[in-house]
Amino acid sequence: MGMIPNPTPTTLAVLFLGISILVFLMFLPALFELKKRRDAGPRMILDDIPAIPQLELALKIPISNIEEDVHFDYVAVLKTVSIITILPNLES
Amino acid sequence: MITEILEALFLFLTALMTAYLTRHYIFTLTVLKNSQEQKRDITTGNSTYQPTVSIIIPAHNEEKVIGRILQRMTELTYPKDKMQIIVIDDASTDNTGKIVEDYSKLFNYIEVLHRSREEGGKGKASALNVGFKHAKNEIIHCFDADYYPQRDILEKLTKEFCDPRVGVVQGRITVLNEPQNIVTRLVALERIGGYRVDQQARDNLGLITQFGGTVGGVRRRLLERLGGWDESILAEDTDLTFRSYLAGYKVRYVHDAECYEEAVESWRAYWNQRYRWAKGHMQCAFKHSLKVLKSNNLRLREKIDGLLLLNVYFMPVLVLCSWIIGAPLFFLKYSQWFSMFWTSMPVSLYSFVGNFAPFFEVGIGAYLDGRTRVQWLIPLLIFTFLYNILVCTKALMDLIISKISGRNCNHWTKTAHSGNGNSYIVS
Repeated sequence: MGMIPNPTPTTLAVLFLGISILVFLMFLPALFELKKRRDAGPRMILDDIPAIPQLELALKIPISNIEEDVHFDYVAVLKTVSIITILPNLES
Repeated sequence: MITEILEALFLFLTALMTAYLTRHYIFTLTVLKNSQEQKRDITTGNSTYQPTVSIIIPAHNEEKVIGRILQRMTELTYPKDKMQIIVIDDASTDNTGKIVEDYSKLFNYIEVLHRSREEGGKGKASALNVGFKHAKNEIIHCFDADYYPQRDILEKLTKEFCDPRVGVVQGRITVLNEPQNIVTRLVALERIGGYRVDQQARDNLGLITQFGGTVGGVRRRLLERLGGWDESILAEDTDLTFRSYLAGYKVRYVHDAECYEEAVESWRAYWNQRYRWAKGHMQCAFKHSLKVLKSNNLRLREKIDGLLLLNVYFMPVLVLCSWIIGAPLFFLKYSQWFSMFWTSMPVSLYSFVGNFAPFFEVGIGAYLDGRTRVQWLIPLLIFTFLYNILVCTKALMDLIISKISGRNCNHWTKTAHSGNGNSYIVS
């Protein structure tokens, strides 16, 4: 082991501390996320079918991506649905 | 002399790891590049190509989830007169059979086949073959009992069969019960890497796209030619993938065709599932590796990718070997360059190998899904990787022992489903 410097107790202690801090920092975000989940998951999958059924589907499945605290505003969605439903009648 | 042998072995293992590392980089960069250019096919729902389809759902003690998928089947937008749903009640001892019977009375396109304890319980491939015998239609789709697809999934999957070269299609799987606990969250990460990046890239690059045995379909003509599913292989899906490619057909991955699954919820269940996958995959590697090399139906890059895919479950075992070999080499090799090299290579490369959703692949997959927060959990994948080393080593050892002793080791350990995913779906 000629090329490896003789470790002193101080070197070993610093090395151990350094590695411990590195590992801790590596897992710190995961610990935060485990303690207080911000990513709700699962990913919402929607059908590529006409607009109104799709919105109805979104209302039926309460799975939303709440990252950055963005939630489905169900009241707003319902209002949008009612507006879209009226639109064809307005044209005629 | 021993040092030289260890060194050669170590270099070989390092080269293998580098090959997988390169593959993961290529996959990730490909998907990143294509995500900028990809245009969503908005015509899928209007596809005029709608052949008749049979959907096979094997079910063994699935009373907690079978009603959910059957209800969903009745909500699919595919023309019901072109649909046949066959549920294989595979020697269930719970209410699975009764639930399916109730549905079959209400909907004439739902059929149930009951298998007794003597006939059934022999694994998924066996149940699928029974279903296939009763299937009448052109395309045979498969769904697991714990799955919950999009309503227009059949249109999206089936339209790919327009191309006569396509023999098999595969949709995307998303974990439904992701928030359940740490296991389901890590499985969800693996799924993101596996489907959002791996499968998508393989499809983009024209490599070996893998059929996952569920959320997908097979052309009837191909399945007849292949003689159905091979019941002697635990990973019947991987086996079917390679037999299809060797027969000259392609497998397409349809990213838009999404389906929820209920992931395993405990480390014990995770072990059982991965053990089955690892062993089955290794069986396929022994069965197909040489055929892939000799095949006239595969291009060079397909052969390379096929071999990497077939042997992917050996990698955790080989990484373990490289660690074991690296330790004595560290002490035997005196030069600083060598000692640094020997120790750093396995440690730095281990995270890039295998199919266990390598870190950056998962990161990019999550990014493309718009899931930035979930990336915070990625470092925890180190534990699943270490766990998978044990799983794969045990699977390989058992396989070798069974080969030597001649004993059949194909015991199918079914994944139990709690039905907890139901709470995320409100009807």
